[in-house]
Amino acid sequence: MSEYKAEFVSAWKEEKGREKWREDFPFEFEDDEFVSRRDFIRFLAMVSAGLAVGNAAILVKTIFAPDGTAFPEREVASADELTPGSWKLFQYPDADSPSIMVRRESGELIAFQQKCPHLACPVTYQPSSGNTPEHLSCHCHNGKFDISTGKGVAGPPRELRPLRVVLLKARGGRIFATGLAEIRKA
Amino acid sequence: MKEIVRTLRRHPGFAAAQQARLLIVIALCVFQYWLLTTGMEAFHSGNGSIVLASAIVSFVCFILAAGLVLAGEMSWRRMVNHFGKENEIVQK
Repeated sequence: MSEYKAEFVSAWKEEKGREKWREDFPFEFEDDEFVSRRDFIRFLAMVSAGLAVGNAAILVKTIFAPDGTAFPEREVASADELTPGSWKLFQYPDADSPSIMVRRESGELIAFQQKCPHLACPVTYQPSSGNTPEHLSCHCHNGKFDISTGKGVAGPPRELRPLRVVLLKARGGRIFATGLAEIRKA
Repeated sequence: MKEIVRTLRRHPGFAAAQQARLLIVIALCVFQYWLLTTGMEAFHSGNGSIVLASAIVSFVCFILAAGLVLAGEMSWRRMVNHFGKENEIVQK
C-alpha cells in the first residue's frame, strides 16, 4: 500500500471510527446466512406446493395406469421342473418385476411377486424346519410372509400390503403366468 | 426500514401470530409428507380410492398453508404501513 493511501485509510478510520470499506459494503457476513421467519414460512409454502404436486402426480399415474386385466401370458416352467420344497425365479409381468414360484411341500404350485412391500428387498422361500412352517422370508429386516396368502406375519410386512399373487395356469405339461391377483383390502 | 422492523419485533402480538402461523404451516407440511407416503403405498397396492382422497386432502392442506402465508404477508404490509406513518408523524 502506498504511503499516501495508508495515510488516507488511517485518517478515514480516525475520523469516522471505522474503515471506509465498511461503508462501501455495509453487510455483515452473518447476515448473509440469516433466515427470517418470513423467508422460512415462504419456503415452507413452496415445500407444501411441491408435496401437493407429488400427490397429484401419483393420482394422475393411477388414473392412467394400464388396465389391470391386460396381463400377458408367459411360460414360466415345465410342470415337473420343481420338486416339493423348491422354487424358481422369473420376471412377470415385465422385466422389472421379479417373481418367485414355489412348489410347496404339499405339492401345490404358487407364485408371488418377489419385492417385499417394506423396502423392495427380494423375498426367498424357506422350507419348514422344526416348529417353523414353510414361509417366504425377507432377510433385510427379518420379515416373514404366509406361503398360502402372501400376507406378512412377522416383521415390518405385518402392517403393509401382502405380496401380490401371480396367477398360474397349467397347460400341456407347461406352467404359464397369466396375470396378477387383485389385492384383498383389509 | 430497520427502525420499523425493530418496532415490529417489539410488538408481541404480531410476533406471536407470526410464530403460530409458522408452527401451523410446519404441521401441515409434515401431514402432507405423510399423505404422500400413504398415497405412494396405496398406488403400489392398486388401491385407487386412497390415492384420490390423499391428493384432495394434500391440496386442501396446501391451500391452507398458502392462505396462512398470504395472511402473514398482508399483516406484515399493514404493520409496515402503520408504523411507517407513525414514524413520519414522529419525525415531523
